[in-house]
Amino acid sequence: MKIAATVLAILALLGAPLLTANPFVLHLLILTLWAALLGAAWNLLGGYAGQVSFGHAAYLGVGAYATMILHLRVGWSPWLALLAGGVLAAVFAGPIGWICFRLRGPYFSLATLAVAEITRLVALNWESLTAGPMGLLVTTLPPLTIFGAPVNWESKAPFYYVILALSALVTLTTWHVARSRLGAFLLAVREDLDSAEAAGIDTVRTRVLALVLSAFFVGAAGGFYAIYYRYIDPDAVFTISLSVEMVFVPVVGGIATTWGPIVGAVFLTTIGEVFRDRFQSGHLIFYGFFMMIVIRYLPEGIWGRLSQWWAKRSATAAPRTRRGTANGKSPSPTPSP
Amino acid sequence: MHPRFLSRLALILGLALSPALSPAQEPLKIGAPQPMTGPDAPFGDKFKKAYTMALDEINAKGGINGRKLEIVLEDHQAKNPLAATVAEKLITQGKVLVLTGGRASGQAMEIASVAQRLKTPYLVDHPSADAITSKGFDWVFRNNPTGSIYPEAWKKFVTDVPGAMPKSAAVVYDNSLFGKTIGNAVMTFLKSKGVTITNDEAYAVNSLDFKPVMTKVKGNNPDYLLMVAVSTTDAILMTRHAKEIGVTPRAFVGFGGGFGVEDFAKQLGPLAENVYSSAAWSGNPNDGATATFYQNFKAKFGISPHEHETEGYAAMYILADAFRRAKLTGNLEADRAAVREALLATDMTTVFGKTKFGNYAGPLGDNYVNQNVNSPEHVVLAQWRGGVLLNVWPKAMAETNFVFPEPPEKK
Repeated sequence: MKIAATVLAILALLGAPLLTANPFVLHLLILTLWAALLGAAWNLLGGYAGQVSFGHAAYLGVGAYATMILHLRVGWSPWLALLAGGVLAAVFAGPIGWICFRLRGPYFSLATLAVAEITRLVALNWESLTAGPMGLLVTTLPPLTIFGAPVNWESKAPFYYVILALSALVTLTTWHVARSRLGAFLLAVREDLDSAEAAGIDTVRTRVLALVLSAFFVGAAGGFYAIYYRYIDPDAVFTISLSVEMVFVPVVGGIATTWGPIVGAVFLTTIGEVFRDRFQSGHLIFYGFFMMIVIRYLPEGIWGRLSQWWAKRSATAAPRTRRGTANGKSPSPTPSP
Repeated sequence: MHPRFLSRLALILGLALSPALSPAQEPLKIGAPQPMTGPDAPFGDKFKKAYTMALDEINAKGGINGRKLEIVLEDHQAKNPLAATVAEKLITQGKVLVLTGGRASGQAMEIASVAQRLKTPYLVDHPSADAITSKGFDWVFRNNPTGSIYPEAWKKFVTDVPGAMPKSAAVVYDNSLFGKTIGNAVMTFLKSKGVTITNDEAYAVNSLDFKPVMTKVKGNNPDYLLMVAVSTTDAILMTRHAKEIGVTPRAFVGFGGGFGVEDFAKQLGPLAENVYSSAAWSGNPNDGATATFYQNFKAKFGISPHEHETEGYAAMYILADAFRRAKLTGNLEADRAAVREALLATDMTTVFGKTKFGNYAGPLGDNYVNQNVNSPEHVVLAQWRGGVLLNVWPKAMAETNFVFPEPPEKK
C-alpha cells in the first residue's frame, strides 16, 4: 500500500509535463519545487542545527551570479554553470561560517543578515564583473540535445525536470543527514551548544559543514533562478525578502523534518496564488494573517503536526506491533530528549 | 398581473435576450502587470486610473469594431520573479492579446523576456532601462524614452544656447540602474565635448547626508552641478546640501523624477528657485489635446497627471489603434501576431506625442528595436520658478524664458 502510493507519487511527478498541457500549471509546479528546494536547504542549517540564518539570499545571489557569469562570459553550458554556481556558493559559505559561527543565537542571525547585505553591495558596485545595477540578461539558451532529441527551451519541461532532480537530491540529502552521525551532531549542537562541545564535538566544524551543504543547494537554486528567469540584478537575487521566504517554507511545513519543506512549499505557493487571485490588492493582509495563525497554532508546522498525530494514533492503535516504531522513524519534529 | 411577476418576467426575458442584443463578442483583453501592493503601489494606482479613463472613453465610443476593450491588472509587488509569473499567467490563463505596464525596469525585463518567448506583444509605457529595447526582443515595443535619452533636452540646451556649454562639470549620481545610465550618458556627452569632469561621484540610493560629497564638489568649483537621483528624498537632500555647503555653479541641473515633483519646491522653498529639472516627459503642455487631457484627468480624479498617467493613457490609445488596424480572427496566436504587425505600422499622435516604432542607435550605442523613433523629441528641460516647474527648453515646448546663469546670491 505504502509502496504503491510512493510509486504513484513518483510517476505523477515524473509525468507531470505530459499530464498537463497548461504551461502555467507547470510554472506553478516549478515555483513550488523551487521553494521546496530553498526551504529544505535552509532547513539543513536552520532546522536540524538550529542556526537561524536570515541571510541565505547571499548564497542564492552568489549561485545566480556565478551561473550567469560562467555561462555568458566563459561560455559554459548553463546546467554545468548551475552546478558550479552551487559549488561556488558552498565555497563562499565556508569561510563565512567559520567566522560567523563564533557568534551564537541572535548574534549569528544578525551576522548573516549583514553578510547578505554586504554581498548585495559588492554585486551592485563590482561593475566589471556583475554589470552592477544593469543586471545580467540571457536572451537565448544554447541548443542542447539529450539522447539525440533537441531540448525545447521555450517549453517548461526541461526546467521542470531539473528542479525536480534538485529537490529530490536535497530531500535525499536531508533524509540521509538526519540519520547520520552528522545529523546527531547537529541535533546536539541545536539542543545545547556547550554540552555538545563538552562531549567532544567540534561544533564550529559541524555547523560549517551544515552551512556548506545548505549553501550548495541554495546556490544551485540561485543558478536555476538565473537560467529560468533569464535576468538577474542585485536587488532581485540578494533581496532580504528571499531570505525570509526561505525561512517561511520549513516553518509552515515543519522545521527539522524531511518532508516539511515540501508540504510548506506546496501550501505557500498555492495560497499565495489563490489569495492574489481572490483578494486582489488585499492579498498580502490575508497572507500575513495566515502566517500568524500558523505560527500561533501550528508552531511545529503542518507536516510536523501530522506526523506527531500519526505517530500517536498508531502508537495507541497498535502498541505492541512494530508499526509504531516504523512510523516513529520519520524524523521527530520536536526536539528529541 | 402581479407586479413582482412582471418584474421577474422582465428579468428572465432580459437574461434570455441579452446575448442576442449585444453581439456575442469577447472583449479585447490587455494585460498589465503593475505593482498594486508593496512599496510601488502608488504608481500601480496611477496607471490603473490612466488605463481605465482611456478605456472608458474608447468603450463609450463603441470600442474597437464593436468589441469592448478590457484591462486586466495583475499585482507583481515590484518583485521580478512575480512579474514573470503574472506575465505568464496573463498570457496563458488570462488569454490577453497584448501586455503593457511593468512600472520598473527590473520587472519590465522579466515581462519582456516572457512576452518574447510566448510571442505576445508587449508595449512598454514607462520603464526606461535601455536594455528592454536593445536586446533584440522583436515582440517588445516602447513608447517612452529610454534612460540614456533622458539628458537629450539638457544636451540641446547647452549646445543651442550661446555660452551655455559647460567649462567644467561635477556629476553626482546614485548607483541604481537609472542613476548609472544617466550618469554615463551625461559623462559620455561631456567627454565628447572635451569638458572637464571635476567630480564623478556615485552614492547609494537613499543617502541621508550629501554634505561630504558636496564639500568635495565645492573644492573643485565646477561650472555645472549635474545631479541624478532615482529617489525623491535624494533629489531634495542633495540640492539642499549643495546649496547649504555653498556650491556656486552657473546652473544646478537635476535628472530624475524627484527633481520635478511638488515636494521638491515645498520642502526646499527658495532653495529650489532656478534649479533645472531634466524631468520625464509627460506630453507637450502647449499641445491642445494634451492640455485637455490634463484638465479632464484633474476633473475626474482630483490630481494633476504627470508622466505615469500620460504614458498609461497614451498606451491604451496606441493599442486601440493597433487593434483597429489588425485583422482579428479569434485565433489568439494569430491575433497576437496580427497586433504585432499592426504595432510595427503604428504612426499616430497621442497626448504623449508622436508614436512610430523603429530600430536605431541610442546615445550610448545601444541598438534599439521597436523603440519610438520620436523619443529624442520626448524630453524637456524645465526650471523651478516661484515654486512652479515650467518648461524652458526646447523652445517649442517652453512655457517661459530660462534664467541662466544662476544669478549671484543677494546678501
